[in-house]
Amino acid sequence: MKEEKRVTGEPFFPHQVLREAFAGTLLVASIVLLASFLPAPLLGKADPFITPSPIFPEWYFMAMFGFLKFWVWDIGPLSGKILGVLLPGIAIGFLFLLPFLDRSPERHPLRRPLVTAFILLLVFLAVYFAYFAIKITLEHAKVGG
Amino acid sequence: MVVDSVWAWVEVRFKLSREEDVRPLLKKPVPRHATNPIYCLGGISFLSFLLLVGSGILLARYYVPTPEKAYDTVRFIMLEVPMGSLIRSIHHWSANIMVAAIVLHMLRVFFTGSYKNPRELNWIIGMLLLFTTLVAGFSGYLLPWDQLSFWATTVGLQIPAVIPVIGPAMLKVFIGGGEVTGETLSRFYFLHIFMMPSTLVTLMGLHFLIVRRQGISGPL
Repeated sequence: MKEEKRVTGEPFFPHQVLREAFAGTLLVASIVLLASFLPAPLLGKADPFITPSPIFPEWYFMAMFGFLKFWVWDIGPLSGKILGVLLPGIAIGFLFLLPFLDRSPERHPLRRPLVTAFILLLVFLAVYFAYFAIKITLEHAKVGG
Repeated sequence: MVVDSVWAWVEVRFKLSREEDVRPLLKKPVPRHATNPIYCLGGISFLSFLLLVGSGILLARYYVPTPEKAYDTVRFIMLEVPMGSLIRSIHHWSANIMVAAIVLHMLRVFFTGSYKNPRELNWIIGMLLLFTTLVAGFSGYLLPWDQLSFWATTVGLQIPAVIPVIGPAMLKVFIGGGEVTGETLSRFYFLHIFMMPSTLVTLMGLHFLIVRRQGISGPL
């Protein structure tokens, strides 16, 4: 393990506390503004017999949802549906074990290009499949009328 | 002054201003590189969580988690309760910002290589915090019991349903069957207002303790 350099800095109080108070105030103000001008939606009461269209999951599940729609190919005994969950599952597994897979003491992102490329690829794929989910859901909605 | 005598009463009993306790707490140096605003993101998600707890407690005053009453009570909150719409919207936006801040915080930790030895365990705890937050978000989304929440949950449940063996078992335990029903609503309510928040508080406690113990990772 690389010995970390002893760092000098400003005291937590009041310097850092003041900065954090500023960031916190900005956050609370932004949330109150957003809440005032864009209130949380409430549609009609749930009806199990009428499926609205288009219907989206929350934005943070959109990429996962998109990949499930994207991957339709079977590989051996594994059906396309299972792979649609399994493959992102493997990527998430990698992410979980990241500190044990990337053991080099190098910390600068440009000096560990392979790991950095992997993360950038994940980010790109997440954005792409989220876009894919929105596109295909809207198309289905149009076809379904 | 009254304040002085109250303070003296507390001070005698708890020794709050003892120099050796206060100094490391308040005067602990914050490394200069860590004053960069990107180091704020973890704190932003924590503050969002506090806003969620506060607004959530207020919402729980009126909300009733049954298929018959859920929608009407949320409607009541939106239309009749003084500032009810504001409170629910703050809850809604804080939740979205919390998830976004966690994702950005993870990217910061990644790009500064802060997950490396000796901080491996805190990365794992962070991943668990992310997943707990996502489950909290997913379970909360169903509670208004409107068309959006009902069908978004139905669509979202397609994901765990596909997982071999544990998928159907998970659905049985957490959803109460294969479809979204009143059973799902009451289980999600329990997840949303008890299981997930208490798990989050526990994991956050560990997360912060470890940061405190190991210090902020050095400059790049």
